[in-house]
Amino acid sequence: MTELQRVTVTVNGSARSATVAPRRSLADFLRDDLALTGTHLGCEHGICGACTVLVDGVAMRSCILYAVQVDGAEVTTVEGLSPDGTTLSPLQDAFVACHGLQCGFCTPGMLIAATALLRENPAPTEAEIRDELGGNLCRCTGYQQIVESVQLAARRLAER
Amino acid sequence: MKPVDFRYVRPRTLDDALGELARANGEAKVIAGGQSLGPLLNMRLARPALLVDVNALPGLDALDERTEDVRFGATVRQRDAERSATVARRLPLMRDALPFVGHVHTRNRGTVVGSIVHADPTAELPLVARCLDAVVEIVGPRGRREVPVADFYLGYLTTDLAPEELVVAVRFPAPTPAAGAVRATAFTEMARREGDFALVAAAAQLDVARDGRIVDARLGLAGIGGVPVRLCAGEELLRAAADPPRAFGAVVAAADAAIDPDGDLHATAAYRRSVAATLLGRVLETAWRRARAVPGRG
Repeated sequence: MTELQRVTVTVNGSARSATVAPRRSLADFLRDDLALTGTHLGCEHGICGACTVLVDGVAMRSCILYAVQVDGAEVTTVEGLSPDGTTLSPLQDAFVACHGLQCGFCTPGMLIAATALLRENPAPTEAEIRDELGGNLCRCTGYQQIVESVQLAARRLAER
Repeated sequence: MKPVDFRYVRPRTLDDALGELARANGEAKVIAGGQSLGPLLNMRLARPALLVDVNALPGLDALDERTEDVRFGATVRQRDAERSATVARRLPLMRDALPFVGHVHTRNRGTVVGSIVHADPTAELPLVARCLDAVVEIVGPRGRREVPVADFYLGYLTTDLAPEELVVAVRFPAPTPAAGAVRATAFTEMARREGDFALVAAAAQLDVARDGRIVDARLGLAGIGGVPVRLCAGEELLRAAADPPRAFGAVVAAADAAIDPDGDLHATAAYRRSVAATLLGRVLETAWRRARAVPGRG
C-alpha cells in the first residue's frame, strides 16, 4: 500500500481534511471521506459530467482529478449552492420551476456547470448554454427543460 | 474504474522533478492537466508507479508572445489559450481548433502542451502543432534539447520523449504573412458525439496574396494513422496554382493518394478516407472564403 497523504481542501467554505491514498479521486474524497454525496459519479472517466465541481471557481471533472492534486484548493459542490444551507439558489429554483430534472442523477453536475456559466456570462444565448452543458449527459430530459431552466435563472438573476 | 495504487509527488523545482523521473526507472508518468491521463489511469490502461505533478513548477504557466513565435509553458490551460487575444491574433488555426478539444470543463483543466505530448492521433492540438511546425522543448538528465513536432511523433501515443525527460514548453512559430498577403484558417472534424474523439480532423491555413495566389499553405489531417499528417503535395499544388480554387480537387486527390488510414471498430479505412476527403474540401473552401472576405479582397 502506498503511503497515505494528508489532504486539506476548503469545501463550500469550510476547511476539510482527510488522509487518503494518492489514487483517491476528488469525487471519492468528497463522497466517501467527507460524506458529501451530492456529487454524483457516472462514468468515472471524464465523459458524463455528473461529478462536475468548482475548483477555485472553475468547473472541472472531479473523477479525473485526484484529491492530492487539489490540496489547498477551494472546492464548491452542489451542497454549497444554497445561499443559507436550506433554501435553493435561484438556479436550483429555476430547475424546479421548469422541470429541469427527472431522475436527478445528472443534476448536480448540470447545476455546477450552469452556475459557472452564469457567473461568467449572465445572459447566455441558447447556443452558449448548450455549448457549456454539452459535456454533461442527461438520459431523461432531452435537455430542453434544462436549457429553459438556465434561461429562467438568467432572467430572474437579471431582475434582482 | 479506480486506478492502481501509485505514488504522487508535486515537486517545486525542475531539478527535483527530473530527479523523481530518473529514480522511477521508467515507471513514472508526468501529469499536468490529466484530462487524458486521468481516464487512462481510471481504466487501468496506464499503471504508473509514480505520478510527477508539474503544476507547482515555477514559470511553466506562461503563455509568451514573442516576435518570432508564441511559447506555451507546460501548464497553460487549453481554456486560457482559447480566451487569449495573443492566440487569436498570432495563431488563428489554434483558435479555430480549440473549441473542438473535449468540452469546456476538460479545457478548464487540460493543457495545450499535455495534449501535444499525449500524442493521440485523433487529437486536435497535435495536428495544429504539425501544421505550424511547432517545436517541443525538452529537459532531461543530459540537459535541454528541442525537437520539431514532425520528428517528435513516432506512432500511436508514442513520441521521442524518454521516460526520464520532461516537456517544459512548446513553441509555435508565428511569422507575419508576406507583405500584402492575408492569412485565413479553418478547422473541422467529424466525431460521433460533439466533444468526443474525432474520427478525422482537417486543418487549413492559407496566406493569400493580393493577386489571389497562395504564397503559403498549411494543410493537415488527423485520425488517418498513428500520427498527424501534413499534406505537403497539396500545399505545393496550392502554391503553384494561378487560380487556387480550381486546384482544390487536385489537392484533395493528392491527399487521398498520400494517406493510408487504418480501420478500427469506430470506422473502416474506406470510410475514414471518404471523410478525410470531404473535410479537407470543406476546410479549403472555408479558409479561401475567409481570405476573400477580408475587405479589399475577392
